[in-house]
Amino acid sequence: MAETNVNKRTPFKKKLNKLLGIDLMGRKNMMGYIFVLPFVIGFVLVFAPSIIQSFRFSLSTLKMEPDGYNLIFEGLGNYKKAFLEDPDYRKVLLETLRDIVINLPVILIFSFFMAILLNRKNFPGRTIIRIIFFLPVIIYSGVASTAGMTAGLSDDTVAVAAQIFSDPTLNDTGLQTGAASIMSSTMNLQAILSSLDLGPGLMSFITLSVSRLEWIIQSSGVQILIFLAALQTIPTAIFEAAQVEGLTTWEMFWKITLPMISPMILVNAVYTVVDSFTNSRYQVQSFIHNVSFGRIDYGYGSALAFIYFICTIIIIGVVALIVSRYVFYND
Amino acid sequence: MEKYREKQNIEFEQFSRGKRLKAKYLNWHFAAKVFGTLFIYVLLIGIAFVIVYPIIRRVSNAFKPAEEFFDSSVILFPRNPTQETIWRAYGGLNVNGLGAKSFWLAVFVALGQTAVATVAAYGFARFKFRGSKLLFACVIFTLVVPPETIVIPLLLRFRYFNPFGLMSLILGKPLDLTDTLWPQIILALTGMGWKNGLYIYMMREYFKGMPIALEEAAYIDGAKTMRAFFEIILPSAVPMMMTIFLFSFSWQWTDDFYAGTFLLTERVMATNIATLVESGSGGSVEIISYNTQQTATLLLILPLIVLFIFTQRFFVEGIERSGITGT
Repeated sequence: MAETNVNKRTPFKKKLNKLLGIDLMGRKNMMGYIFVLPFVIGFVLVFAPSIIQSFRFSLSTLKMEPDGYNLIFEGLGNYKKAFLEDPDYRKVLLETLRDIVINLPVILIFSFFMAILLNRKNFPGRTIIRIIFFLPVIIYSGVASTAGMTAGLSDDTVAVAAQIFSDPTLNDTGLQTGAASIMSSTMNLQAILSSLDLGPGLMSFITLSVSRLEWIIQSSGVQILIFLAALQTIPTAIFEAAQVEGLTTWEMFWKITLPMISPMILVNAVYTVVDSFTNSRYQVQSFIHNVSFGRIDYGYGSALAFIYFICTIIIIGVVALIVSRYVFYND
Repeated sequence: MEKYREKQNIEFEQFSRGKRLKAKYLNWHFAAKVFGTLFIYVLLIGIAFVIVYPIIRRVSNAFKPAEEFFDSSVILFPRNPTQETIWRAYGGLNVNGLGAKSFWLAVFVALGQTAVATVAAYGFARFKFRGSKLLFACVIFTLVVPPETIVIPLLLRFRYFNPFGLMSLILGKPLDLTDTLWPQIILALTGMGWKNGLYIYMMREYFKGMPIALEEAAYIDGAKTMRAFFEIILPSAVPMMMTIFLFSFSWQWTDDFYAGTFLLTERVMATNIATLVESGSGGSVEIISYNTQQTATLLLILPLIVLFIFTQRFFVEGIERSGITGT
């Protein structure tokens, strides 16, 4: 009896598997769907509709009503407005993109350089330095970067500082040092420079580059660690072989280290761009947020956000294109 | 070998102590080494200073009485330290009223994100089902879309919350979830929360680096996929899950983007900070209110700093452990 049961069941299973076009391994792999299910639900029910809706909003005007909202189709009106009419958006967007484009290579080179410095063996204080370099990732995030916790020139800092420095009624050095001491070291520097009479052009150049330096140092924490992890996975045997062959350290850097960790350059580039979305020192975010939630102009806000999205995709694409030419996979 | 060493020592001992020291330290190689090390330390300490200085500055400002801001001889150490600013910032943050709420929000969101990231990442790392590459591309896609792009539809979705028309069936009208913590928890549980794609990516790299022999042994012993996952994989993934949890907690703790969007009249501590500046008041009042805001920010991140000091191992080693390979 039992035997016939088995005989009956096996062909059925085989038939089922044949029908679905899978073998035993394939059956096991079907379990994968269960694991990724939460993400799939989120993607299909939350993310994908949202991004499609956002695109639809960007083509229309949105009217809020008590239990729902009304869409009035407008075509490309919002986009036209963003590019041709809005006096501020183009400026803010270009500034943000310029900042990303300038910061991206500098962050990559800086974190690469730092990772190489930190990778030396028998290097006392390595742990402490690593911890400090990583600190900004945790503490200069979210509102802490908005509120000008970073020493640079965030939006409100500039506003307050400009007011204090330009207000003729406040022509009081005490107040100015007060302002400087509270704002940041950059403002302090600005106070010193203004006393040197360097002229506004040179002054803004120096303060901007100093604040950018801090900005870059504070946003390379994760990138340094990713490079460091990659450096540690290079087998030492390769270096030993190279040494036997008579390569100098300089040659080893270009012929071994750089190719071996080149895949990480792309990862870090993407991470840097993604990280910039949540760093409010790039001004376009607060601008879009103001349009959408300050002026409650959802349609126009969506259009602005979409333009921003397309621009960042283009940046990532260009970086991927450039890096993938030189990338070397050690497979 | 021993004999050889002895001979060497004897030969070396033939020179006087002074000559030996001279030979050892007075050469270009040693000088280059010393200056190289010195240079690297100066560089590293300088950069570390740039990172730490704003915090030191703000700690000192927190204790400064208002009039000392106008005294250019006081820089880091206040002459008459006061706690006034700190208490004003403490009240402004509304720690007593909102502390618990902010804390639980961050904890629940972090738990949800960790769970979803772990499960999804395991699915991506170990199973080759149809469309897995495409789905993983979707994970990366959720990462590269700026949150601004999807936040308006998200807000409207939660303002008129009506999954499959269920809510209008039960309540007669869509549910309004704004001003509650549910939108953020729902986002976390569906893997769409703050930077969730990054967590899935890190977790996947970690699972890919884990030896597959662990599970194969479990399968041979007769365990089913689920049992192998819960009894073999999860326990060995705890350190990495801890890393994800800590990242998620700290980023949620300071996040004012989603919190500020979904909480229209309610607040958490992070969104309270923006309200502390009375801009346009000008002069010293502005400086004081600005200082209060800065001190409030400092108070907000203080728990994170303490947490970080005790758990830095998870943060720093987590990324190294994940061994992100870029493929």
